[in-house]
Amino acid sequence: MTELSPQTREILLSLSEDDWRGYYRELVLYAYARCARWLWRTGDKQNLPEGHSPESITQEAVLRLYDGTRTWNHEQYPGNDPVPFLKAVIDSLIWALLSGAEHLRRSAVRDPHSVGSNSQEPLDLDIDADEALHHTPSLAPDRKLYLEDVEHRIRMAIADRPDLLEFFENLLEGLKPREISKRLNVDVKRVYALRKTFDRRTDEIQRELFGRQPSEDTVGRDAERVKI
Amino acid sequence: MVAHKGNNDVSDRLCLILENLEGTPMDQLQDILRNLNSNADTEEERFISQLLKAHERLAQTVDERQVESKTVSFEDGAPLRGLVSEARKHGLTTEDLAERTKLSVPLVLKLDLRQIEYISIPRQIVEDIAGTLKRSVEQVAVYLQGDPIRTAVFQSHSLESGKAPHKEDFTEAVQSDSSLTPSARNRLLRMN
Repeated sequence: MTELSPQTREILLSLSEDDWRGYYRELVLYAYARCARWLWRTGDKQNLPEGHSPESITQEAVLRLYDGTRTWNHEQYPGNDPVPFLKAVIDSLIWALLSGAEHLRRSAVRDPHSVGSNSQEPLDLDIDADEALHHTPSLAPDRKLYLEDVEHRIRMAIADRPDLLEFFENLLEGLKPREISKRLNVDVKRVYALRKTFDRRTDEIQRELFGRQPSEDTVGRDAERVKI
Repeated sequence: MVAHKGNNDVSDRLCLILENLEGTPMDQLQDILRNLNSNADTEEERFISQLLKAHERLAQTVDERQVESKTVSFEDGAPLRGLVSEARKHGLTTEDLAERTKLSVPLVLKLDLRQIEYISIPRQIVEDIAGTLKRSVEQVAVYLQGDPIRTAVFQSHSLESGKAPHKEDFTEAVQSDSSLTPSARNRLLRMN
């Protein structure tokens, strides 16, 4: 176990199981989105390499925080909420995973301009993953058409509800629930209610877009940590 | 974090459906997750139990540190190796030590070098030093009763005189200390 800073240790020890359940769910969903983004761009339909999943990546990120492998820079990520820092770790792990030789070899065949061209260098987990994510290949034309169709289908699913459409537009701008509540001048609980309805109306589309196949799950897999 | 505001790429836009869920109630997050992964609950439970173990280990490490910290305090029972060096451990300079013990720097240095006869040192001085260094009076007393520490100057005087190193009387040291103000000198002299 690597030495944790006193501040990190203090914060981690102050977090309850419920805190972690909330953080974990938010982080796993973030990982779903980030993995999907990468996979859409690198040509794979759904599968992460080496049997990884958004869950396993999130778990790895959290455990690395605990064992000190990843150091929480409190100046860069201030406050007691570990989520912003862990999102960066997740990005970094996804980058490391998807820029792995095997994956890139496959994606390079499809896209000669992919990041795979310089990917044979050793992985550096401290790279600016966010920066790296923005240098991923552009979408293949068929993938772009497909995603545009998905967006259209989402709009159709909520077309009869102007409030949901407005909520969706804000969502697509990258606003957080509290930011949406300010913009719409409504209580944040109203935003959560809109989200609930939005999710119910679009659950099948979201599952198609981000969901995992049952065969990919990690249930039954050895409970030991998966090394990325 | 990642700012996607204004990004027009359709893949970026769609990912934002899941990327900014900050503050969303836990049960709602769970519903979204269950929709994407039918085994979400099982995987979460397994991870939480793993995390609790990591949490316990971390708490244990902290407990061990506290024990170690107590051990260090216990080790503080070890003999003093010097007044000035001990003061440094507490972030104090020689001047700080002199100020807190209401002594002059030359007197502190003489005490540090054990050049003053212990029996002549007022008890109050020993107690003040002990209090400042967070040591027991006995530990300070034991230190001050040790042999004089031989500095180059001290040693050459001894060699010249051919005698064993001489320890100065406290009163003598106070009287010869030109850095003391008259009132400080009087106060120290009255202590004996």
